[in-house]
Amino acid sequence: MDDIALFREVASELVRRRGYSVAGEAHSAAAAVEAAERLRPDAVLLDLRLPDGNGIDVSTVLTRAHPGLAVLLTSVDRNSPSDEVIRASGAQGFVFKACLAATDFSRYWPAPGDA
Amino acid sequence: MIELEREIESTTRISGVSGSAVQMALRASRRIPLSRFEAVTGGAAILGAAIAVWLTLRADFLAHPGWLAVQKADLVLGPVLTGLYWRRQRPRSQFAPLLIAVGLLSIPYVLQSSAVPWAFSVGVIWEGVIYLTTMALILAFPTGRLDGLVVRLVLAAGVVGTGFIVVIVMVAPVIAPDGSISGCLAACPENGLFVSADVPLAMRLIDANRVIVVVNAIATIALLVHRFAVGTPPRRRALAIGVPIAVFFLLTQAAYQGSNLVGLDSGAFHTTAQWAIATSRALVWYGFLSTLIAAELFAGRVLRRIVEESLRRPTLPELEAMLREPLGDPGLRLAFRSSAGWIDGTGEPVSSAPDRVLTVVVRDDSPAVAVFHDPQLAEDTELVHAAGAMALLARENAELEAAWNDALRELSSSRARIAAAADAERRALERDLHDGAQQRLTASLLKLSMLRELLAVESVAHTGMVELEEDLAAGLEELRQLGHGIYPAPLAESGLVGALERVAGRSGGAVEASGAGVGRYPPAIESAVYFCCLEAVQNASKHAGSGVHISIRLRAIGQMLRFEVRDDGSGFDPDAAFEGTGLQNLRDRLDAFDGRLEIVSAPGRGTVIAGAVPVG
Repeated sequence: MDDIALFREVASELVRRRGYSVAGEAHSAAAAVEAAERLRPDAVLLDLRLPDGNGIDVSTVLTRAHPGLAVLLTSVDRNSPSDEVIRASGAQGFVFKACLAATDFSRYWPAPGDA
Repeated sequence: MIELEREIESTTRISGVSGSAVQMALRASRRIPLSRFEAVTGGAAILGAAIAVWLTLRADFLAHPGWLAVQKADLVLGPVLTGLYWRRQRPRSQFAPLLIAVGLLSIPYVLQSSAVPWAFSVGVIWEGVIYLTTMALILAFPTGRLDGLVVRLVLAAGVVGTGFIVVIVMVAPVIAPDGSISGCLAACPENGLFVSADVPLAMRLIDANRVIVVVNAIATIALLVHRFAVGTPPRRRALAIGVPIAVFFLLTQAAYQGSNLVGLDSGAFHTTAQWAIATSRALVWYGFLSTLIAAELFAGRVLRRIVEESLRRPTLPELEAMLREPLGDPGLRLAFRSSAGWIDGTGEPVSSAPDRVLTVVVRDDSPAVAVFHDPQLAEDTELVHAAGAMALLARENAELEAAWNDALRELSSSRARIAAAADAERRALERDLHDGAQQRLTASLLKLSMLRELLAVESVAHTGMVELEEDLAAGLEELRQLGHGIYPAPLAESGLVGALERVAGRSGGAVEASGAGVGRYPPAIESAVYFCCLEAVQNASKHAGSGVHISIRLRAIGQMLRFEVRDDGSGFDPDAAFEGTGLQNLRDRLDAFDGRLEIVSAPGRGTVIAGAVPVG
């Protein structure tokens, strides 16, 4: 979930390339919560800065509503939230957007095809 | 409104443009040489009194020549000198000419001390004239006007009584002064105006005259008491000294003539009454003089109180009250000239008041303040002028102060608006960078990485693309730092404490930040404080020496947000050091929100940069 269409496009392409299927995209915190409810995904890539909220709060809402949902936080900013904040939000971790291509998603998400 | 305009204009013309209070005050404080009128009038009075003393002391038929000489001189000098002083203090008063006239009219009374028969008789008749002028003076006090039915009846009766005396002199073979201390020893001089004897007529007229004197005295006492009872505070003040003395004089006169009527024409009571009349008559003018002096002392007190009141910065609606109480005129009204005509302190238009007297204070040749006051205060025109001028000054002061405060408030809020607008722009710029260039370039970087994955690892293209990715990542980092410098994203996300804790987190232990109880504030204030702290931390790590420890403390106390950046470094002398433009800019940024910044340091003692911003 990301509010920038261009980035969503590239990120979808990337995760597809890593063997995952993309159930859906959302451009805001509200749309993310609604889409998760509708599509029941196994994993979510979530931007920290959204037009109507922040990723930490959205992660908290999503993981409470859907226990077992694997949330990976990301941002164009290199600075990561502290480990405690990430843990408290129920997310699996944080990855700098520029490093996404080099990321081993299986560290945070279930392996593709497991679901 | 137009009517009032005309009224003020005509009042201004009458009092003369030079009648402004300031000029009045200057004139009052200057020593004015004797005018021609004063020299002639005063000279005539002194000459008359000297002749009276000389003639009286020379007369060998009088019982009390010494006392009589004093009385006759006083009858001339007392009213004339009091009148001249009165005229100086109140040039427009009608009472002053009356006093002077009464004094000059007393001069012929000196003839009573002459042994020449016709002169002696004229002197005896003149007792009636003196009675009349004294009554007129008492009735005209303090305005100088002789209005009203009672006043006219009393004076008419006095004229009739004086006519009786003329007839008595013509029909009585032997006459003696009816005055108190003007009695003769063995015999008085011959009656030079005797025509033919009619003793019974003379006796009846003497009694009739006594009845007139008694009735007149009682009527006048009643009138004076009535004037005092119904008088407004300023009128009562004017009557306070003159009236009791006049009443005492009239009472002794009524008692003396009353006792004569019932046949009590000798003995201790008679003698006492005679001396009481002589004394109280002499006191009448000095009562009037005391009234004038008391009025001047009063004016001094009034002006002092008004000046003191004006120091308390009265507001425009309070200006009337500032004059009302000291002047003792609860109905006093003020009108100020404005572009919208004549208005009162609350800005309402003022209309003319028929039962009030209008005094106009002129400034720069045009009327500036109109004072509607009690008619009795018209006697104290200079006082009203000065009081009106004080009101004008106080009003201008209040207006200037209000304008100044408005300007300051406007300046302060416009500075805060400008600072907040600049801050909003910085935040928008940072958002644009974040949502635009940074995202686009990050997306490009990812695309590039995905493309590279398709290439063989060791190929020239692969190596080139790795370099390209590194360049792009470096450019992205620069962009990120630029955005962070413009407006740090953590500040928007987690507030001051969160953002400063991140600063501390990056420092590797050299900086610690704390801010228990500090919440969120308007973005412009948060960023002003954030950048102040950041600048202070950067200064400390640059100048305080190696191994320095820096602590940032934030506290919210009451309506103030306080911050303090303290280091244990080498310190410096703040008076000698040049304050960098960075810190000066931050000081200005804090100033825009009425905040302040202080730097405390000394060589070897570390540095504390502390500030506070109101956040209420």
